[in-house]
Amino acid sequence: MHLSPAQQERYSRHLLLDSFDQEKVLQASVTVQGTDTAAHWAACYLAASGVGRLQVDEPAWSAELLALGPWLQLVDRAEMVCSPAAEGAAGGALAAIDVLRRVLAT
Amino acid sequence: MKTALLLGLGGLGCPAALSLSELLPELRLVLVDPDCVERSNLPRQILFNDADVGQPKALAAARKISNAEARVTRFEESTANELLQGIDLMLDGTDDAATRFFANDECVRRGIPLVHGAAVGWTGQLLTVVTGSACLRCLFEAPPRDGPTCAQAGVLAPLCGLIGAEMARAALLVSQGRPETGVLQRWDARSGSVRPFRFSRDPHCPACIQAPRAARAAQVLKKESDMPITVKIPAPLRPLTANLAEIAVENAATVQAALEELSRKYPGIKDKLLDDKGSMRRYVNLFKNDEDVRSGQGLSTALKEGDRLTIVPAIAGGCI
Repeated sequence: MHLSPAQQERYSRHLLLDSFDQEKVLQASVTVQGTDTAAHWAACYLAASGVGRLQVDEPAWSAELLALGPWLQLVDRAEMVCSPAAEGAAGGALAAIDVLRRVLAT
Repeated sequence: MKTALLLGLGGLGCPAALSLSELLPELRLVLVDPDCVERSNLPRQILFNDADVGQPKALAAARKISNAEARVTRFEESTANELLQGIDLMLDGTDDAATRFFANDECVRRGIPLVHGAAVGWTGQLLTVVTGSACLRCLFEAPPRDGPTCAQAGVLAPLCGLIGAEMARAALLVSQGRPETGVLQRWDARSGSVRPFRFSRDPHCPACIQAPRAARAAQVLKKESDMPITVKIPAPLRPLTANLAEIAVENAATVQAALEELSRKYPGIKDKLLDDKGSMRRYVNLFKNDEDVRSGQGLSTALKEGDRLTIVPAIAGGCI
C-alpha cells in the first residue's frame, strides 16, 4: 500500500516522526469500547490519525468520525481493542496514543 | 474567572477549547489565531475537517465552540494590550518559541495566570504560571535558537489531544484557586509515561523577578497619577510653559500640590504665583473650576481628578 499525494499531505506531520508508519495505521482496525467522553475522544483521534477501520459503541458519532477520517470505514467487527483506562478527554487521548503504539509495534 | 484567552487554535488549541467548554461551560473563550486551516492540520486539529480548509482557524473554531469569539490576529507587541483587556487567564498553545516567551513575559508582568502547553515529535509538556510562581523563563531563560517545530520534526496527533486536554484541566485548577505550579510535566508518547520536572524560581530570571517590582512600580505610579487635573495657563505665563495653554498635572490633591508639581515641570512659574512666604500673590486669582479658591480654603483647597484649575491675572493686561 502506498500513500496517495492527498494522504501524504494530510499525514505529513506523522510522516516526519521517527519510527512512524502511516500505512500501518491506515490498515489498522480498532474497536473503541464505551460511550463516555474518554471513548469519544479516543475514537475522534483514531479517526483523525488515519485508522482505516473503526468500530464504535455509539452510532451517533458516525458522521463526526467520517468527517475526520476521509478514508475511514465504520465496521461491525474490528481486530484491536481500545478501552480507555482513565476518564475524560485526557484518558481518551492516552488510549488513542496507546493504540497507535500497538499498531506500530505489529 | 470569566474570560480566557486561547492563543493558537492548532493541535493544542482545538482540544483545549473543546475540553474547556466541557469543564468550564460558563467561561468565555477568546480564540486568537492569524492562520488558516491547512490539510496537514486535520489529523490533530479535530475541530476542523476538509470543509474548513482555507478558513481562518479562529473563525472556524468559534463556529463549533459555544461561548467563544474569534480574533484573527497574531499575539504580538502591537496587539497584546488590546487582546489582554479583561482577560482572567491565558492558555498558550502556539508553536513558535518567540510567541511563547512573549506570552510568558506579558502574563507575568500583568499578573494573568498562564497555562503553557507544547507538543513536538513524541513529547509534550505543560506548565502553569501564576503570580509568584516560577515562570517559563526561570526554566529556559530564552527561546531556543533552533528548536524543532512540528513542521520539521512532526508531531503525534493524539499526543496533541492529551496536552490540550491537560491544558484545560490545568485551567480548571487555576479557576478553583489551586494551580499546580513550579512543575513542568513532560509526556513521552513513545513510552506512554509522564515525568514531572520540579523547579523553583530563578532569582535572576529577567521576566518574573521583575514582576513584583514592576507591580509595585505600577502601584506607585497609579497613586501618583491618582489626581490628574488640568491647569489653564494665561497668555502672560505661557513663555514659561513652552506656550502651552493647558497642562495636565498629576499628584495634585490640593491647589498647593498642583502648583508645586507645575513648577517642578516648568521652573519659575511658582514664583510668579506665590510670594516668598509661599502665599498667593495678591494680583493672582486661582479658580477651581468656576470657584475662586480664595473663597474656599486657598492653597489647601482640595482637588479631585478632572478638576480644572485656572490662573487668572487680577488686572487685565497686568504682567505677572
